[in-house]
Amino acid sequence: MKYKDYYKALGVERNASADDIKKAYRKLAHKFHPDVSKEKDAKEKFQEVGEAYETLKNPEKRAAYDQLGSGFEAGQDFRPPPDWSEQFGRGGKTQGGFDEADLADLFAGLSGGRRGGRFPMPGQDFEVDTRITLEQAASGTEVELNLNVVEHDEHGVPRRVPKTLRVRVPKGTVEGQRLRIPGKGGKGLDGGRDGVLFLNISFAPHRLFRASGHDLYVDLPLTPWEAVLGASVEVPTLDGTVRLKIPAGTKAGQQLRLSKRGLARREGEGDLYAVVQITVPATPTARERELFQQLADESKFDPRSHFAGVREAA
Amino acid sequence: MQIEITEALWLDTGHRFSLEELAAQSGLPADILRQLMELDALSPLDAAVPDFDADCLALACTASRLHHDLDLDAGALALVLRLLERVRSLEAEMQTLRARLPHHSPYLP
Repeated sequence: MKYKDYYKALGVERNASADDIKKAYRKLAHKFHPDVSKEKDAKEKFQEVGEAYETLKNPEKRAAYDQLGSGFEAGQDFRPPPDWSEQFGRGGKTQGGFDEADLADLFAGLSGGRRGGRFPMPGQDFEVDTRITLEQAASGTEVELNLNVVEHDEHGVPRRVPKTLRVRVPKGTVEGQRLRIPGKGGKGLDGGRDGVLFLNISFAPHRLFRASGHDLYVDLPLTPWEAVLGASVEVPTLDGTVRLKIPAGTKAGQQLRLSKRGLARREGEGDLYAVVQITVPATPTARERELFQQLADESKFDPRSHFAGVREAA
Repeated sequence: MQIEITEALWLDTGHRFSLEELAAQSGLPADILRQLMELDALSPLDAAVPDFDADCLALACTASRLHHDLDLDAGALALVLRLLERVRSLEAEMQTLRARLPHHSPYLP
């Protein structure tokens, strides 16, 4: 079992008062709470702080933690003293089951009052982030989740057991969607309900498409002459290439809608928007330069005519 | 190694939750849920019953975490939930606007 320094996690001395521990927890919890924090690794840091506080706020658990000794470094392999489990363990003696246990699970079983009579404890709700591609979102997919779940052996000693869950994600999910998988969180104790597994979906960045809800956006570079004269161009979609008619006089930034070419919804589909960009050749040939020069000499088009009044006023 | 295949469910559909079910599923006491309703931070589908959809479950789970982890009372929870909703809608708007920007735009992160 790996040692965790709960005092260090909260940034307090080993002889800190209960009040100091509470203050330190509150300060760190406000900073790292995953529901409100944008700090990097907020979730992991909050878990560390929460786990430390969960043990140190309870005098019985704190005494049990202190009994483990203080000469260990965080992350160091260690075993509780021989008589520790008899004094504090949930079911008394253990048969060497500590190696796979997590320190937090050990203390979770020591809840004050729990020994006085068992009552149903609901299983823990898990929240897992998973990243899928736009193509997977469009067609529905299966994702494999590797979880470490807590199980109790016959002596009541908790240990972490790796578990792989393959989850079918229905088509029509969008970025930030939360899916719910009932009964797949932590196991309930003494008749309590099993926890719920929440799956947070995010999309991997795509080379071409950007998603906004069920709609997709793609950049559509056009030449100046295609924009002026109109054209028929090929545009990629998630289902392959389609031909799109560009009307004459198309401007940069205009969005051309390709109906029902976005992400699948539960019913119907979103749209694909081609966002027009006018691009010019970086190194025009001599002939291209000549033709553009001819156009510049002949054209009376002034795209900045609306600046005129401003110029005069200044 | 155990491998289980399971089906994910949409959070925003499915059955309606009673106040008691919402309390049991979210872990937030029923009296705090009632106070959140009074403060308009939690909107039941039908206030007379009351019953709730799965969006309310997600909201109640967030409220429950904030209540237990940060020791917030109903008034503070209502305020935080409202601000979180505002952050979420601003983030969604930002994502929509970013999707419309060209790939090489200087405004993209």
